[in-house]
Amino acid sequence: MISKALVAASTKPLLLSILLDGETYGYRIIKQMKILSGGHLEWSFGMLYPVLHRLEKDGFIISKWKESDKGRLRKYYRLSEAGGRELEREKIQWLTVNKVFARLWRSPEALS
Amino acid sequence: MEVTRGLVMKKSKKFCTAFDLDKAVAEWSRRMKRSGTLEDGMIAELEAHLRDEVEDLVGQGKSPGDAFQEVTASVESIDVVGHEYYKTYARGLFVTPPRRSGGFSPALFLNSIKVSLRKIRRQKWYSLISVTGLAVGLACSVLILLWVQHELSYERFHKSAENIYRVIMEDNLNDDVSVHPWLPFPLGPALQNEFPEIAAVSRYRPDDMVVRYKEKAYTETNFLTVDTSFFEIFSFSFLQGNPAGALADPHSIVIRDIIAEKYFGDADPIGKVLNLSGRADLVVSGVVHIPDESDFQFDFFFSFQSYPLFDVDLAPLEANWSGKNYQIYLLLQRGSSAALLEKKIAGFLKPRTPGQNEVLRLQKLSRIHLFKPNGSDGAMRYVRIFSLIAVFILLIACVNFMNLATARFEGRAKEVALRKTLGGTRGQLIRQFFNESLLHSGLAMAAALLLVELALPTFNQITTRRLSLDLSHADLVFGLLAIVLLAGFISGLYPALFLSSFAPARISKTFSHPRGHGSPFRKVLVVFQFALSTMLIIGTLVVKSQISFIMNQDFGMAKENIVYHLMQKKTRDSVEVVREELLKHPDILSISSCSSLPSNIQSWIGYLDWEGRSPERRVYPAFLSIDYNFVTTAGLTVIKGRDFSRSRPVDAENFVINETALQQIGFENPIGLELRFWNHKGQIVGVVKDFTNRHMSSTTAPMILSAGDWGANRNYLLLRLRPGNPTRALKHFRQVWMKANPGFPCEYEFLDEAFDRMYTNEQRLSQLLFSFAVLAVIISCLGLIGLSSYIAEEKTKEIGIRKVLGASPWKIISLFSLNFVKLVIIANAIAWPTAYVIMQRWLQDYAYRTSLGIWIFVLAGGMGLFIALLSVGYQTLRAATTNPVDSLRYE
Repeated sequence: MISKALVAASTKPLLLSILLDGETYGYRIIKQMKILSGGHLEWSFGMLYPVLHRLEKDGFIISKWKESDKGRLRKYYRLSEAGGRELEREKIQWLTVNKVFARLWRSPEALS
Repeated sequence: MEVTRGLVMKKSKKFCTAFDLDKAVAEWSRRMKRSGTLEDGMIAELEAHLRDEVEDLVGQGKSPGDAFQEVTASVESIDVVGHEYYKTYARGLFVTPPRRSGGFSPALFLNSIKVSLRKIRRQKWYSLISVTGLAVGLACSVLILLWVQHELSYERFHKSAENIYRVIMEDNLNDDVSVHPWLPFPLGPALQNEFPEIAAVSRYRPDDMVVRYKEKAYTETNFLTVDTSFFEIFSFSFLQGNPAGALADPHSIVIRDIIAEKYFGDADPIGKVLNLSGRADLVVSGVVHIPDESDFQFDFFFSFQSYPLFDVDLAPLEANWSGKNYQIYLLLQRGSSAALLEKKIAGFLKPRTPGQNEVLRLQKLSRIHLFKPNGSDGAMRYVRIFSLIAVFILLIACVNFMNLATARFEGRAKEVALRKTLGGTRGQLIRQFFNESLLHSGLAMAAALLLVELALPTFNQITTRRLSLDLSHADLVFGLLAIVLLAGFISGLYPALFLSSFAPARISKTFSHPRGHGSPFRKVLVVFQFALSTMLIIGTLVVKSQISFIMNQDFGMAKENIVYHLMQKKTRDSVEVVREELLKHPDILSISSCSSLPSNIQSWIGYLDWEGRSPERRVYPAFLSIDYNFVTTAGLTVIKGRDFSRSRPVDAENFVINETALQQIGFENPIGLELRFWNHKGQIVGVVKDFTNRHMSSTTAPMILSAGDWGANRNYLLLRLRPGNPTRALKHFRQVWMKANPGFPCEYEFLDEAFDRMYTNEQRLSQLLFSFAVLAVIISCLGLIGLSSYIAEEKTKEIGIRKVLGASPWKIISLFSLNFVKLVIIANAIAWPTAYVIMQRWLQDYAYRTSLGIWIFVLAGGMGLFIALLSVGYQTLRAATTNPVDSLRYE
């Protein structure tokens, strides 16, 4: 399990990254994250939606109510331009941290 | 094993089919909404998520019901979700959402009551004053409410009350429309024959008689002659006998319960024989109870069928369309329209009374007590006046309560600050303040009910009602509760809304009361309260002065020193015998008799006609049959011509009229004018000054007097006594009377007392108004005392400093009193014009009315001011004489 603090710190870049692939909705994000993390990262919806709202309020993502193929309404989120720039900034920070870890641990699995 | 599993499967399958996902989701989102933490958009999104996940699980082979259960169970509690959202949106340091109060909490409620009680204990003086004031105010309102409720309930107990109507007549006389219920005798049966929608008819004629049973003999003034159907129309309850057919036999009479006791004591009244005026013997066939909520306050009922027993022939009565001395009540068939019938009967009299312009109308039974026949206010006037007073007093008491509450609460600004700092919300403070004022008003109501119980006997005596506080009455309890809530709400309004809005920082920084807002508001309240009290005082003074104006009006007759005695046919015959003997007494100046008392002439028999009368000029005079010497005995003033004279036999055919009749006839010199009246013809020999013959609220009616024998019963013997001590003359009268009329009672009365009785309503009104005005002023004063003592206390230090700097106590008193004087003056400026308008309207109803002199207003204002100064002065005096050393000790 990943610690609470790390989850809190990583949520924003992870979400922005997921949206790089195009627009998607809440439930799919949770499912995708579960698969990507091999089950280690399980977001609860009580946490996800407020964060999505927060990101939208900050202007990083844009939401839209849309009808799904089954005729139900769903709220879809996509990345805004500001969101893309924010992701770039985040990426640099994460990569920096990652680089430090790689050197310290001399891990072959370093990201770069 | 297999079998049970199958059963379980079956069960769950059944459950599956029964489970409606849409419904469950809708229910879920409703629950979310109710919690109030999330906005609609957020809930919609969560709902979409819910459906996605359920769909997914169902895809994995779960039943929708199970899937739904699983998902909703995994969702964090609403509060946690709400908290996350709150974090997202809240700005600032504190990201703790406001504490949501858990609805009603018994512990908190108890605490609130405890705090309220503690406050009452700690501020005994203010609490006492404010609760007493409110209690007195509430008690007044409750008394008035009881009375109003009683007034509005008249005649509503009759089973067919909705279908009973009184026939009334609209008579257009020389631009003057008179509407009255007095109608010709034959009209009742004639209407019933003509209109099938009339189910029953009863005529009605009040009468006086001497009733004798064995050795008991009394003059009874509450006889009612009716038709046999009377007790079928009206549902008075019979204690004995049967309402149907109680009067079928001409020899029967129905008596009231109190009369049965008066004559027969405990004996069974049914079948007992009463002798009426020595002329007819009637057998008691029923005992009836007349409730207080009825205007039919009569003691004896018999039918017109009994008239022949009194040697009164019905045939001429049945043909007489010009005399109007009977009321007519109709019971309509169920479902028939009164409005329609009214249209049909409107012109019914025209062919029967040619040349007259009399229109028939209907008046609903339940309206008779409250409204006059012409639709203007009858008792309704008093209902309105007293309702207004009740509202006034309640307002004064509430204002008082509110005023003292603001004073009390202002000292609690620090409490507000503390509560707020500790996280108390404004809503909680509002609730706390409302709780306290509701507790006060509840206490006041309990005290008020006690006061009402204590005051009811006196109140009943004044109103001549038998009201009682019956708390098993749901309406009443509801009404009282409403008053408590309203009073509590109104008086808690200011502290609840204003005080609770204080910013804690502002209060604690200065550590004083945030004034500047509170004071002007309180001033407005004091002004309002004093304006209302002043208006009540003015109203009382106007009513008092109007009554004394009426009582001291020129009645056109010297009504003092006149004694009258009601006579019957037998005793009437003895007058010729006793006259000479009575006149022998030096204190008996003159003797006469007349058909009705001058205070109440209700005899209308026909129109006047004379040579050359233009058809529009119609005079319908009140008729008074008199004996010679009436003018002298009653003390009338002859202004033209002369009085009747016994020495001129032709005067038996002649007439004397009053000033109003002369005016309506329109002749400059009417002496010698020949009048045709009913079936008589005669000349006018004299005109007398108008003497009051009806209640002062109506104008004087035209009147015609005749000394001839008209068959009208001159029932009243009048004696004019020498001014001074009447005892010997009366003793002489009694002796002579008893000797001439053995077996008849001797019950005389003074005429001026009969006149005074005409105004009992006004006098009662003024007495009540006076009591209520006094109470209103007392309540206002209580408020002032409380307020001034609060201010004096608050300004102790200011007073101390002023004294140190050399101010005299007198200077200080005048300084503080001046503030109140200003308020009282403003209150008067508001009260005077308002009261003027209201009282001017009240006076409109009187034909003779006093002028609204400025002295009334000045007096009322002066009284208000004096009382205000008195109540303020004491407290200020106490403060002003305090040694400054004590008040400034801690500075």
